[in-house]
Amino acid sequence: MLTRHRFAVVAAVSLVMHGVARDVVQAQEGPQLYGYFATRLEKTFRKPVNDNGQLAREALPQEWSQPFFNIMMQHQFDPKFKAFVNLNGAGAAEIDVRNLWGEYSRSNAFNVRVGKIYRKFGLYNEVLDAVPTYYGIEPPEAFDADHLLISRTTNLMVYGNVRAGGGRLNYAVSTDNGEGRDIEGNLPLGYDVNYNFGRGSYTLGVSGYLSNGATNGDRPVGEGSPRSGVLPWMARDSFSVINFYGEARTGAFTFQAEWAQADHQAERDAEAVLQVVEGGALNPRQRARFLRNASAPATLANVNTNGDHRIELWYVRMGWSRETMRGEVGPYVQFDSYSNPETVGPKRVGGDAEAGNTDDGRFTKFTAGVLYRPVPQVAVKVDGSLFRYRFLGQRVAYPELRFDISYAFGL
Amino acid sequence: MTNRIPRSFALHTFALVGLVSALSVATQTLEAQVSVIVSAATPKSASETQVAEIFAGASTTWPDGARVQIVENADAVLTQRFFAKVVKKPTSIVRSQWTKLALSGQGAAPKKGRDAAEVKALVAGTPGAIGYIPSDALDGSVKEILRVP
Repeated sequence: MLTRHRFAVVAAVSLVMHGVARDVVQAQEGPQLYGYFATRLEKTFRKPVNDNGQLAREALPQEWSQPFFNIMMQHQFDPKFKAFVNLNGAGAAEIDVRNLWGEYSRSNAFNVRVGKIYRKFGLYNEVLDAVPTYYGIEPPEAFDADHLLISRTTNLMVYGNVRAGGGRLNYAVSTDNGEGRDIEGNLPLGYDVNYNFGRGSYTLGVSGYLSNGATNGDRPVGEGSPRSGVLPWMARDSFSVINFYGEARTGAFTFQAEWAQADHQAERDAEAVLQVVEGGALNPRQRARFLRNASAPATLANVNTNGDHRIELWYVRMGWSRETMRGEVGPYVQFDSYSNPETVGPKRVGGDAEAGNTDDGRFTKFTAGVLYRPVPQVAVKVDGSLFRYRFLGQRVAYPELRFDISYAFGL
Repeated sequence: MTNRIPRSFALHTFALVGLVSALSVATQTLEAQVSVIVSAATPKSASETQVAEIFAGASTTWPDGARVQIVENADAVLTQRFFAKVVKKPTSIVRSQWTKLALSGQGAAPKKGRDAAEVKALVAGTPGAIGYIPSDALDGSVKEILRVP
């Protein structure tokens, strides 16, 4: 991962410096600086817990994310070269470089972007940090940080579009040096192809990813949720993802839908599995999956190293915008379905607090909420979700409420 | 006794309908046409569909690869009419899409002109810029690529 980021930064800086050199000769405008400040409150009620084999409920403490910021800087050195930086943080001590890239545009049909890039993948990956602009507070489960299908970023992307029929055919191809922390030599391939038509109102597309060989997780067991699509207890994982999506933005309505599937041909690391078993509070199904004999003690010899699994998910989102004398009001509804039989509950071992706590690795989430913009720069969102799944042999549900407010500047 | 409508009432109704129709036509005529403009120095051109795609955020580059720089007109009524006729979306949706493109680096943050003169100045002085003004404000500093009635 470190090597990967070093490569990204060196490549981006090189491209930016090339642009700077041109800029001296061909002076253009100064950089654009903009972004947003936001804060969020989240509260979970009556979450099902296992109390010595009995179903019990507990209210989790409310989570308040301190005011955080996303600052973007974009500079067009000349009509063909530009650079972009996206910094996220809650303070000077916690600044995360989300994106840092340079780009060369040959024509509509051919653009090259190098650096740390949010890859084009489905409807949300590239716009993950544009939270104030979309309906909903959380991104779809397909892009939830607790259970990523693939790493959000890549290092080299070629993209473009050509006119076709009454619309545009957009493509993107991306690669980097792999997801894993210590496997070299992989050349994964990411792609996205979509057709946009109806004056930009409709989009139909497909995204995909091929690991192109075995890789492993970017974090070992015990260091939290992975930032890639490979679980931390895998020794090797060769996987592919395919994702179909569609969007309609007609008049004041927005409708979005995606369906994705990830196939993992994986081999578990026996020692890492023992760490998961010992620290993972596994349910009987998960224990039976990880061990050859679930009723026998967890030993290296008893670990089932076959980690093949398939993740499936889909969602639909609908929103409607109404302009009033007092600002924009936008009610929205969303439905997510997620299934991952391999994950476990505790996030500290790299699990997923949602799918990992269910009997069968499946859950659904229904969300309803409203967006209010008194002025274009301010977005206030309130929504609530109902999670439903099987737990201790019963169908259970629990609600979650969220509040988010953001202020955009420079836009 | 017959239920005939008084002749004077019919005449007044006829006159009123005629007046409303005339006012309606006159109002439409008075509504300024909108011109989509680019710098006079650029060879750039675009069809109505391409203009709609640009303002809808579906296209962020010109055919030669140069970046599109949108210049918004602060005239809210003109903007609303233009978006409704060409982009066929409310202002809030269009603005939100521009913000999304800027926050993700896919497009430049839009610029805003307070009036037609400022929009023309920004369009004339910014590479790849496109804006919209009332047609009666056109002059030689910019080039009209589309007129919206």
